[in-house]
Amino acid sequence: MAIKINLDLMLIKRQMKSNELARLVGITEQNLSILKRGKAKAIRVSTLEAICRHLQCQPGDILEYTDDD
Amino acid sequence: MQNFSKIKTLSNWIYWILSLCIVIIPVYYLSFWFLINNTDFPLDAITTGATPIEPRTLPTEILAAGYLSSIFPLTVLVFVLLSLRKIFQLYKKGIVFSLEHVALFKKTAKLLVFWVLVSIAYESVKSVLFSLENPPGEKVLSIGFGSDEVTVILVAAFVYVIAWVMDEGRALAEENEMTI
Repeated sequence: MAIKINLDLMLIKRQMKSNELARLVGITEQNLSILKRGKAKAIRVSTLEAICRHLQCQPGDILEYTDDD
Repeated sequence: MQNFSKIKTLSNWIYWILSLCIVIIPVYYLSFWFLINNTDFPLDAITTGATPIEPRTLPTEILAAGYLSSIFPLTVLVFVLLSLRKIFQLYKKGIVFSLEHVALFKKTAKLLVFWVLVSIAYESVKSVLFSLENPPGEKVLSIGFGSDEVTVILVAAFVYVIAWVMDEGRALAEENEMTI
């Protein structure tokens, strides 16, 4: 997939666990796992906003475009 | 959510009604041939096509042949009912859009068309059996395709279109499920 989700990296940088972030954002750990593995088909702006707020980062720190070609 | 609850409740009722039909309809088919000589219902009142049969009782061989020929439409009809019951079983569990639904709707539509074809053949066999002992020149082979058959085929077409709609719904539901 051309869009890579760097959530794991941000969690390490902020020394936060997945379950804690899931709780803070208000999504299930399962859904956070889907997001981390890049299996999600879409991400809500509200979810992205909550993640950025709690990880104190920009959307660009989490989402990365890579040219597959 | 209110709709979801209604779907579950109503589907539960329909599930049990269909279960009852799966038991009652074979009994009806069986009793039609087994009781045809033993009821007050006059045999000559049964029309096969447009020609009434001679008033008499039917011999055992004809009853057996009639019963055997009824097994085909009965089997297809039971499969239709089982397929519909499976659809409502899924609704009952709260599963509204799934690949299984799509497959079941398509299967039901095909079975309905097949049921029409088998029923036409069955009615034709009935017309022959009922008039088999008639004098020469009065034996009947009736092949009918009427408004009832057209209605069932139309219903089958609707069900097939619903299968496509369900597939679109399933795709949307899947996308929604994978939207975080």
